[in-house]
Amino acid sequence: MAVDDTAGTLDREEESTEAGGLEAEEVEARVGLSYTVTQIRRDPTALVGLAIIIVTTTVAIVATVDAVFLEYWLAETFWYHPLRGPHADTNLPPYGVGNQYYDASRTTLSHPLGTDFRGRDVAVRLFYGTRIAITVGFVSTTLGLVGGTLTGAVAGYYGGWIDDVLMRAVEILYAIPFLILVIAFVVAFDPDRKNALLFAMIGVGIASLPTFARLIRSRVFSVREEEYVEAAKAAGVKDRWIILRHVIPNSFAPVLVQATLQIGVAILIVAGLSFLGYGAQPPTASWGQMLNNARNLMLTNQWFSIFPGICIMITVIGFNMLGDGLRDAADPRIQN
Amino acid sequence: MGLLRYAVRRLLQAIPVLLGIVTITFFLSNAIPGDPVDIMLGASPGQAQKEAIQAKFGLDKPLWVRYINYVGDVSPIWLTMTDSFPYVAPEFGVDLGRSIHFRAPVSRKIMERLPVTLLLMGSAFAFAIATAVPLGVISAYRRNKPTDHVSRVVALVGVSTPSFPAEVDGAATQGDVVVTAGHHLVLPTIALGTLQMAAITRIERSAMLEQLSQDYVRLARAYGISDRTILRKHAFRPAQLPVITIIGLQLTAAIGGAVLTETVFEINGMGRLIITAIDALDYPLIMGTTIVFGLVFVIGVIATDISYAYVDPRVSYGEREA
Repeated sequence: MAVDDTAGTLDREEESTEAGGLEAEEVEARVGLSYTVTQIRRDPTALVGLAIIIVTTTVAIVATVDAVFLEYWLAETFWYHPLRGPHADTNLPPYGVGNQYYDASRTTLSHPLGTDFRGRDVAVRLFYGTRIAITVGFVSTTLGLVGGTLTGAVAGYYGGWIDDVLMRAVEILYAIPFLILVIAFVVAFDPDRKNALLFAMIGVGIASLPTFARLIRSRVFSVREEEYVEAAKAAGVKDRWIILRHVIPNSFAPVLVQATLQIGVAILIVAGLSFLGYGAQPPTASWGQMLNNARNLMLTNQWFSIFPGICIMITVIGFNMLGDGLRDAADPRIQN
Repeated sequence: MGLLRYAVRRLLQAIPVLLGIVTITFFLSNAIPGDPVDIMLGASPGQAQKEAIQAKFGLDKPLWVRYINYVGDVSPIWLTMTDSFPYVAPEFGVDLGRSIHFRAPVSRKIMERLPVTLLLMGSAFAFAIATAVPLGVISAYRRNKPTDHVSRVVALVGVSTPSFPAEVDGAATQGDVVVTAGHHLVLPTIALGTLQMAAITRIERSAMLEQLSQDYVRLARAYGISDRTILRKHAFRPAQLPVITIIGLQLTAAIGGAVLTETVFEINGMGRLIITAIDALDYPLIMGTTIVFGLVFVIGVIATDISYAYVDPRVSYGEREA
C-alpha cells in the first residue's frame, strides 16, 4: 500500500515537470505517449495504417473464432472449408484469366481467385491465412518486447558489470543471422515440425529481443537520472518497483514505435520461414505456405504467388504506416 | 586515441562475442534430436560400423569435451580476422572440422560457397546504396512535394514486400535466360537489394531532414549560400552517420535474405549450404557456416564503426560510448 502511494505522488510530480516551460523539458514532453497519440490523429498516413490494421485484425479474430470454437462452421455454411477439398477442379486460375495451360472459360465466379492444387478455394484460404499472420505478428513481438524491455531496463538501470554482461549477451544474439537462429531453433526443439509455427514465433521473438533491449536501454540512461527516480530511491522503494513503475513506463514511447514496425517484420520473417518449410505446416492455411505451394507451379500458374504476396504486403504496409507515423510523432528532432 | 588502437580494441572486444556465437551454435545444434550418423548410414547400420564413424568424428566423447575441443580448434580464427578469411585459414591451423554430410573439410565447403554469397550480398548492397542515397536526399530536399511522396511510397512498399513471391516470378522468367554470371546476378541482386534499399532510403531521408533543420544550415542560408552547396557540402556528410549504422545492422537481415534468395534462384551459396546442413543434422557444417556468418557480421559492424571517423572527424574514439 505504502509503495503504491509513493508511486502515485511521484507520477503526478513527473507530469508537472513535463508541463514546465524549459526547452529541455519540452523535448522530454514530446517524447511522451499522450503527445504521440494527439499527433497521430492529424497524420493521414498513420490513420490509413491504423485502418488496415483494424480490418486485418478483425478478419483474423473472426477466422480464429471460427477455427477454434466453431470448427469452421461459419466457413462451411457461408463459404468453403479452408482446409478440406476439393471444391472444384484443381489449379483453377482466377476468374476470367487463362493462358496456354488453362482455359479461361473453365474459371467460375464461385472461386473468384481460383483453386489450389487440391481444389481448395484460394480466397477462403487467404482469409483464414490472416489469422496466422496476425497471431504471429502479435505473439512474437510481445515476446521480444517483454524480454527486450526487461533486459534493457535492468541493464540500463543498474549499469556497470550487469550492463556489460547483459548487453554482450544481447550482442551475441544480434550477431547470429536471425533467420538461421530461428531455423536452428525450430529444428532443435521441434524435429517433427508439428508445432513448427509456435517455435518459429518464439524464435522470431527471441531474435527481435536485442533491438528492444538496445532501444530502451539508451532511454533508461537518461530516465534513471530523473528526480522522481531519485525520490523513489530515497523513499525506500525497491529497485524492482522503480524499474517496473517508473523507469519502463517513462522509456516506453520509442519501444512502442519499434514494436509496431516489428510486427510487420515478424509477419515477413515467418512467411519466409513457412515458405522454406520451417513455419506453418500443411494443411494450415498460411500465406507463406501458399507461396511455397505456388513455387511448384510458377511456370504454369503464376497467379498463385501473387495473391498471398499481396496479402502479406498490405498487412505489413499497414503496420509500417502506423509505425512511421508514430515514429515521426515521437521524434522531437524532426520538425513537423 | 588513434584509429589503429581503436580498431585493435574493437577487434579484441569482438572475441567474447564470437565465443558466444560459437557456444550458442554448438549447444543449439547439439540440441537437435536425431543422430547424424544414423542419417548418414541409412536403415539398420551395424553397431561396429556406427561406433567407428562416431569415433572418427569424435561423437563418442561427452558433450563438454567436444565443446572444449571445438573451441580450441576454432580459436585461431581470431588471427585471420585481419586478412581475407578463409584463404589464409589453413596456415594458422584453423580447423572447423569435417562435414559429415559432404565428407569433406568444412572450411573447404565454406571456401567454395562464401565467394558466391559475398558477391551476391556485395552487389545487393551496392545496388541498394546507389539508389537509396540519392533517393533519400532528394526526398528530404523536396519535402512534402510529389517527388518526396513518390520516393516514400517506393520505400514503404519496398520495406513491406516479401521478396520471395517476386523472386518466384523472377526465377520463372529467368529460367531460360541462363547465359552469363552477370545475367544470373541481376534478378537476385534486385530481389535481395530492395529491402536494404527501402531501409536505407528511409534513414537517409530522416537524417537529411534532421540536418537541414539545424542552426548551421539556417546560418548558411542567411549567408546566401545556394541550396545545392548546402546540400552537398554542409548537410550531406553529417547526415551519413545513422545511414552507415543502418547499413552495418542491415547485414544480418541481408544474410537472412540471402538464404531465401539462394533457395529461390537455386544459387549454390552459403545460404543453401546452411539449409542443407540443418536438414542433414551436419553439426560441424552448421557451426562452421554460422560462425563464418557471425564473423562477416562482426567485421561489418567494426568496419562501420571505423568508417565513422572518415565521415565525421568529430567522432572521438577515446571515451567509452553509452
